Amino acid sequence: MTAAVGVTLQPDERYLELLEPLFATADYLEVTPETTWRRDDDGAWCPNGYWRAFLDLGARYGKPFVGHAVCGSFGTADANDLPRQRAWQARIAEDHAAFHFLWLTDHLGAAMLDGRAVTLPIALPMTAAAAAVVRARLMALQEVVPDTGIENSVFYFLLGDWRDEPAFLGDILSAPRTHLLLDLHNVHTMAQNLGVDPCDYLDRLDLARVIEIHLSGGSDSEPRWLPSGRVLRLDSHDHAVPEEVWRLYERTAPRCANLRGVTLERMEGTVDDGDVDGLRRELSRAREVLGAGRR
Amino acid sequence: MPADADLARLQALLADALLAPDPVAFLRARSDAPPVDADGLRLAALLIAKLRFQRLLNGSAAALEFWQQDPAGFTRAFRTYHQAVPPTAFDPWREAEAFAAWCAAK
Repeated sequence: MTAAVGVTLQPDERYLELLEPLFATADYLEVTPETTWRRDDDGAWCPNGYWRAFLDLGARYGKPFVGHAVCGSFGTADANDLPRQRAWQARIAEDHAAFHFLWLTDHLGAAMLDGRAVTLPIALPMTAAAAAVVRARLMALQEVVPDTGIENSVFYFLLGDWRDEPAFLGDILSAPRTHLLLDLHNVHTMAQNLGVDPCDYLDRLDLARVIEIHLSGGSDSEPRWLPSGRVLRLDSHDHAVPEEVWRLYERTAPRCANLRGVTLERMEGTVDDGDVDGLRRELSRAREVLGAGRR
Repeated sequence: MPADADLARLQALLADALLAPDPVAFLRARSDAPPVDADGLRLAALLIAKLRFQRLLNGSAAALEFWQQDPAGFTRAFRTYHQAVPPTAFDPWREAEAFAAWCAAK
């Protein structure tokens, strides 16, 4: 199967207006379901204006959708979080009935800790018990979307050795039709922050599990943010894809036998008129690498 | 959807640390804390506060107006709010409700 290239949709009118020409040339559009929600008067989730706007874009250009969620918090172990998880999945089911996601992913980690919505994915201990928690959530989500997956996250602190994460991901993704979303900027960011070789991590991954690759850029923290003055790379999606990430992509994509999509990610509020040509070139480059891999 | 008691306890400890005024000092004072990178822990706590700040401005017209009129005053108020009120919601509207309730109770 030939992998497709996609672009993220963001809940921002200016972003959608500027990038509409890219949406027309992409093979699919990636939606973060939670950005299409609002609370109704009873506090229940319901569609906001972007829900219809994204569906209209897909219909206008004949593009399918891929889902990439941010609030599933698949690593949360607190039993008191179950009602929130059920409400989240029920809303995802309603979205899937409209968007018909080709597959749906969320992030490795826990963003809800003991009832506290920290919203940033926090690392899990790489144990069999933690893997079972995430695996169970992925399998529960398969009742809604048959193909589900998890993205390798950026963690600013770890509960183990990052080089053990590929094995942990393998344990999590042991059920059929559960996949890895390989975010190469996240690999680059983790490797840079830890001072290790990103290829060491990539070589340990079971690349046959990769359904999708994310390409994006990021930026650095400011020295004044930490008492030590140390600078860490951030998973901020606010700049062009760096050359280091392109090199990882060129090296890795041809080895992902079951790859179905490569998505260019960019955060709303970080795109202006002058960025559109660059993003168009990035989309073309992503496609060219896939073509080269087939030759 | 199984829950794991040890993992749940660890996550509660990490939540306490990440929302503490000094996350590193908090964990160092706990004998049951895992070893973590101090800079990374501080940065994660900072980003959690930053995400909450943005969530509040996205959900609350009153907070946005406060911030636009008095950025320093709003930032001070937010710091106090962030310490006083645990974040319980992913969405801007619940955050706005929590901030409004905190302001009303002050």
